[in-house]
Amino acid sequence: MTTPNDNDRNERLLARLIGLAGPRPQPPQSMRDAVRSATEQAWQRHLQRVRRRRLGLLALAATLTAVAVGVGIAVDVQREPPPWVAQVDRSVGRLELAHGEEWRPLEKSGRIAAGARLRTAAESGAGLLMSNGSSLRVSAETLLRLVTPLEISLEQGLIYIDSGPETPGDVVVRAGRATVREKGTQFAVHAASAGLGVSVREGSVSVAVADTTFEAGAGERLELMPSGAVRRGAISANDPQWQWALALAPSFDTDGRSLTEFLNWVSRETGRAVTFVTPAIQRAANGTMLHGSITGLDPDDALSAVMATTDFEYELVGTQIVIRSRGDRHRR
Amino acid sequence: MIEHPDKALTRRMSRGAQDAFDEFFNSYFPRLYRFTLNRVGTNDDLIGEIVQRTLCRAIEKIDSYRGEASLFTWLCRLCRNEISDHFRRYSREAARTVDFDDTEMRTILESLDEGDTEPDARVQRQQVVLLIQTILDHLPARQGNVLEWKYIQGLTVDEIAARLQVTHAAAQSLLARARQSFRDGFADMTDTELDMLLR
Repeated sequence: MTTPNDNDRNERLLARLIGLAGPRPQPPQSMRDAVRSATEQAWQRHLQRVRRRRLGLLALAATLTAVAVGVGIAVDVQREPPPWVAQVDRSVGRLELAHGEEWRPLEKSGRIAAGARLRTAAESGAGLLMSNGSSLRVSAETLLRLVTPLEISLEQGLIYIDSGPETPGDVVVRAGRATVREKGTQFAVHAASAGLGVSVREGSVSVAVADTTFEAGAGERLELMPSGAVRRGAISANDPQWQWALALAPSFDTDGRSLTEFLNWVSRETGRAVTFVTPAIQRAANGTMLHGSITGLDPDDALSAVMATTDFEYELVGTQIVIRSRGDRHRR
Repeated sequence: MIEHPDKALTRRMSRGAQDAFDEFFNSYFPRLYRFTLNRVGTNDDLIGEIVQRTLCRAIEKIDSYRGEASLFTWLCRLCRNEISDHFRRYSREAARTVDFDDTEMRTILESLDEGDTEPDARVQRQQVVLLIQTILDHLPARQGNVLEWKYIQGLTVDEIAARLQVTHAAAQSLLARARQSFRDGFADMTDTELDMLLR
């Protein structure tokens, strides 16, 4: 056991050693400027590659569009319907709104009226908060019309929808002659014959094309080809193909929220289930209130940043986020 | 796998956060400069070239950094490869390396205290200086900085707190962690516990 005298001697020795070494050599400013310039250029090139990868699920053709649908947790829904149907929450690159024949840039927090047409440029994307509380994420080179908060006309490209059980009505996406409807207790099927791709992350959808209806549940992918052929496949909740939508996730306000609420948000955005090692840890997480902001962080970064401020640590094990008390991992 | 906190920085960089890139460059460029300086000598052109190649290579491979070790450790590995490649290309003698397995630190300190100016003592002093600076560079950037501020620049805890824009208590806590990290780093590099030198 160290005594106060030991601590004093340690402190003096530390001071001697570090004082002996003197200040660490610093690089010349000219070198710093040159290396920074080259490194920043390399970083910009890296970002371009990342954007192409992340926003890279583009429309295959005008007749083949892809719609990804998930059922999620609703955010607060206003009692009085606002005059706008959506608001820009996040954007990457260029997002434009049609004004007659003209296209004009739409900035973050910009509001969108019913019936408006939107488009994204190459290597761009947008996350929109719909007035009914659902989240609409728009990939690159996508063209759509927001008819109402519950009806989207997708002309070309890729969108991701996260609606909640409290959203009144079912979300409908019309793409060519296909209608994709979030399946609820009441729904109608419309005729459609255009090619389509639909991936379901949670919940289920019905896809009506001509006089045929196809059902797809969570973890399923449907491809309806122009020839009429139908292909089914599997896609897990944390498949990398969802990654682009993660980047456009709506912000989660952590201030005053519990750690459990935050983890639930991370879980539905990343597709990974949260597991607490013991019920006691889960109770403790329920009672841990967060403060501050994670604005600008995506769910993966936010998880790392938030957990570092708590008495818990996490481990990614397969498709799970395992939560335990800090230090417990080494005592296993 | 528990993710290293540095992984959050690299993720932010890949998302295009300018402040993340600034933090990355400002934190790691000076440390890689010193890492290279200690291995190739004082040729600034050569050092600049190697560090620039290291950082650009790191950016290209940033998504492959898994967060199992510190980012600085990962960058040093890349830098060692660049240094080796350089010397292999130019058929020079092997890059200088520094042996930190010196268990006679106490003797060295005593000789330094006596103001011994013999060539051997000067070499030993240089090695100690190198050792201390390397340990500082391997600490998280803020920890290395606060130790320099306190023990070289002579700043008080309040002055350190003001510089970091944190509370007095937070600065004290950071200093305590930095001292412990330095002790751990010293023990790792020299096989000698710091407090053994007091006995």
